[in-house]
Amino acid sequence: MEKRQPQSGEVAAALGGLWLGLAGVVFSHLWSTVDPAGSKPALLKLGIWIPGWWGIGPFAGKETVGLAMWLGGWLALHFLLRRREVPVRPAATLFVIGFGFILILAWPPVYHALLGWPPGLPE
Amino acid sequence: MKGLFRTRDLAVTQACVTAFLFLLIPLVHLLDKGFYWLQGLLHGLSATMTVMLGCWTFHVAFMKLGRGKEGGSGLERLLWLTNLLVLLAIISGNWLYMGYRSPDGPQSWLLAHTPLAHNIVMEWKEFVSLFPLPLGVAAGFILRRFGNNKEIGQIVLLLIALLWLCLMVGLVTGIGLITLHP
Repeated sequence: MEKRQPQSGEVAAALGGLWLGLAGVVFSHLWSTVDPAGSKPALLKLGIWIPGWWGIGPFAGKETVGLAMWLGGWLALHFLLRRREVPVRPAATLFVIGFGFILILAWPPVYHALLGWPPGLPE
Repeated sequence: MKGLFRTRDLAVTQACVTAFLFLLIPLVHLLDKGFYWLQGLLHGLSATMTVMLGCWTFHVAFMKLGRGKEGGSGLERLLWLTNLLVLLAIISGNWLYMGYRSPDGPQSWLLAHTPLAHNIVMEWKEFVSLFPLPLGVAAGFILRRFGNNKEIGQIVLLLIALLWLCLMVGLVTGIGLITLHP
């Protein structure tokens, strides 16, 4: 027989986990921009499971933060929301606004204007 | 009246010829004498195929989702295939990135000659090019769980649209950057 119909909470959880993953990648990069010396050892350490991490540098750590926040956040939200009915239209609207925010925040002139340019470049 | 050919056939021919010619772009790496030519070739091929399949998936999604049309499983297969190619493009991109960052590689050349190419174009591309993977996996998961549901189908369509946008950002910035390679 037909299994129980999935609830729309699963959609909200997928969107929420997705946003957390994107935010994880971008915010770990902002951290490395603000505090290169402090963040580098931590990000290098996080990235060592990726083959060739020594050639990729802190980027492997940023990928790891994004992956962990995406899958971990999705799993947590999924079990939190899967039995609930969450209105999908507001969830989608919120996601699109959040996605636009991340895409703009990841644009280097924006965060460099806020956090400072690398040495030798225009302020 | 019966025409000389069906319009659809012309469109399919155009798509096939364009796809073939597009795939020739990464093959230019065969002329490359650099140390990382193989990585360049693999990343170029996987990225180009990903963008082409992503466009196809987007078109099928336009036709199927939110209209209650049958055949959602065909779209789902295409979507997972796109996700697989995105993953390959990311893995080959990571591999190529080692060459980009290698001593005396393109990164140091760009920072010495045209620093904004690295500090703006590459810095944005590295992150936006990762986005299609979670977008596509979330879209595939929702499609699997809810099928061709009118309202939720439109969310899947939205995610596929954003996936396509990020793929295009990755391709355009990537091709832009290799034109600057010494």
